[in-house]
Amino acid sequence: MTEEQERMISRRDFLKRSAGGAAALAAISSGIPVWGQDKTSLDFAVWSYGIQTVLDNIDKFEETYPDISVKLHDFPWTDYRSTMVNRFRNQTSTDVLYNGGDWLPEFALAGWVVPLERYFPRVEEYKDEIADYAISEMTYKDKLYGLPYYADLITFMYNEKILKEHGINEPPSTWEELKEDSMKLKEEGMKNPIMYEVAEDLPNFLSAFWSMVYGRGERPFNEDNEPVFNDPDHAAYKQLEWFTKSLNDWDLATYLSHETEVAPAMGTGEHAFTILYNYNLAQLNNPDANPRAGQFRLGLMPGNEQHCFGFAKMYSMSQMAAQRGRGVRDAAWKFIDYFGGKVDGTYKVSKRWAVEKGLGFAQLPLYDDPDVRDAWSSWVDMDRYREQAEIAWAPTRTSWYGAWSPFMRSQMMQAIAGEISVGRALDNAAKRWDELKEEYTF
Amino acid sequence: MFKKVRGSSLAYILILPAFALILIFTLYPFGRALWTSFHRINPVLPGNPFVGFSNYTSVFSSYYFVKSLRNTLIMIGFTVPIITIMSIAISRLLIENFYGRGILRPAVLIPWVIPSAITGLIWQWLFNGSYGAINALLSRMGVISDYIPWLTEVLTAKFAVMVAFIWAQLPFPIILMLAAMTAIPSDLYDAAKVDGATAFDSFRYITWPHIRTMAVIVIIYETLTAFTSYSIPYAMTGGGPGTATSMISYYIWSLSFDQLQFGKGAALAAIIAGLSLIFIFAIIKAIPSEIMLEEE
Repeated sequence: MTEEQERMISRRDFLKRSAGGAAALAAISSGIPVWGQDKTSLDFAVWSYGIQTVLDNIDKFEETYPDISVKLHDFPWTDYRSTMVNRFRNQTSTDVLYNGGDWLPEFALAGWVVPLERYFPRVEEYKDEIADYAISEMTYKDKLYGLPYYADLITFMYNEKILKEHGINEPPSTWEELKEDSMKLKEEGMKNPIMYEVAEDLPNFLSAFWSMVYGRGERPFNEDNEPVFNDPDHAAYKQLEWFTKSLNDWDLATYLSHETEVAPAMGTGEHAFTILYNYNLAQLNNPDANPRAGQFRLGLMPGNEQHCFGFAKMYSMSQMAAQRGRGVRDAAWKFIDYFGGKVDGTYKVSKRWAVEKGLGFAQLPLYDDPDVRDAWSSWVDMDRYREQAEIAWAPTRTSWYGAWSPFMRSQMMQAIAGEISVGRALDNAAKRWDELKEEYTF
Repeated sequence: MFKKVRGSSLAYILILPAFALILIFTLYPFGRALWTSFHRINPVLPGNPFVGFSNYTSVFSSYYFVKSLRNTLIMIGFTVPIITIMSIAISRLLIENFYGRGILRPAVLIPWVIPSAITGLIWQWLFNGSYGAINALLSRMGVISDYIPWLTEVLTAKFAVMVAFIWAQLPFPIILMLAAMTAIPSDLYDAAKVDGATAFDSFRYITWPHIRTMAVIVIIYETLTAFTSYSIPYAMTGGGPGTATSMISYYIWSLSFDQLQFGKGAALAAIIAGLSLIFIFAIIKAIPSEIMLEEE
């Protein structure tokens, strides 16, 4: 063979090398360790929050498990569900993911996520240490589908200093009292004492509304998952009327479209009350972010019963990961266990989120963790938070809730704008619920 | 090998690559969307049953469709004429020789390089009812005593979204108009000056005849852009208050990706495509025929 011939690649060699390369590529993309690449790779999908912290946690995980590499994919919160639907639908590689109680039934029904206890019976051991509402959020058809990323409450917050300056010594405990206090503040010069977070494309908006309804002590659906919220005597009907009147008739309230705007607006001192995901209280009382830090307090949700909305976001494993074989499944479990479970006897990652970002937690031992208590004491009354958490309600979740929620939000927006009545908005939403229930029950 | 290929066959072979691209990237997706619009497609549910025209009737009978279409048409009705007139006026200024023109010309392009979602966020902060710069400025100037809740009142929210949209859209029409004005021979203006023409006469009899075709292009382009506007209204108001700034493009997205009703989303997209075509034909029909003829 001449030198030139040696340099030339034969057709057979080309095919062999191509096939080898393709096999290696396929193996790498499927996470199976190949020659020269002895790591199992995991694709991890999240919504964009605290990404630097997430990356740092991943680095620490990879140090603990050097045989596993994790690739992060992050998406905006408002687009997360639709992005994940499309990722799953198109079989885009996703092994572990952030999941929410509102989407779990839908994702589970479609077979996109798998129950953890099917593969990892050890997950049962965590159940006793996780708050009931969080277990409920992570469970579908009696199977646990995740371990908590964080769990939190949607709570009522108020500016204690402003209230005292106006002679209001106790936060309102009912919606009537909130109206009275707001009227007083308005008469004394505050244009909009109440600030809401409202946006049609934001799931938080509906969750916050349910939290208000729970405060009144009623659930929007009965035990058969039938809507009851459109009954004029129901708490949801009364609350939506109260909500729209506070904006339009009494002119006591205004709103912004995202919590990141609400926090600085509260910092102007132009508003005294708000209802948000509880971790926002950490931001409100952060001296580096808010000139009125230290003035904000957590109050129990107004209403006769003072329940509130408790939810959990979780780490789930995808069906894709389950199908990729035992190596990937084990890697996914190590990942979920590290992030949502215990590391060296403590809930290390959940604790970090709680201490550094003020995210709530579902793991009950963290209530007594001195580091968490110390960090939280600067922005929230921990005992008040625990009191609210103990009476928090997990919301109703069904496989069609994710598809129904945007419709309900659009109806609420129309009622808020006075385009349709509260009764019509809720009737439309109830009708749509029934249609979807029929569609999804097969 | 081409010797064997004769006459029209060669032409067909030559257009094949272009046709293949159009087939893959335009005709197939459009056909697929049409097929989808006649089926119930929900990724969570099994099967894709044929549902006839029910997706179309459902969309047409929806209150939200009427509302968002009306909002979109209002947006087009206000912003397109303003963008067209402002782009002509600004281009006319920028074509003149003056100190600082070298800086001002590239500066007007700045909004163009900012992603529309960021544009929405910038204007959302400017118009924020509690701590926005616009309220602060108006208050310091003594124009307002109370801060205006720009983004939570129906009329002011519509106004704010339109201001942001116009700001973001202006650069491209300015470039087009500048290009058209640059091509006008300067001796025409010199001759007009000698004949005693006023600035208005010069614009009417020299500038306008040379830029009116470009103005038509700007109107069509901006109409279609406003028709599909999404990021700016949603970054600023989330469609509110109520449905005051909900646009038709959001409704397509919401039906398809939020409510997972891909069939209805596709039906709405087909309706919008049809309406866009009607718009284009209507605009072309409304243009004086000599403008179209001079291009032929």
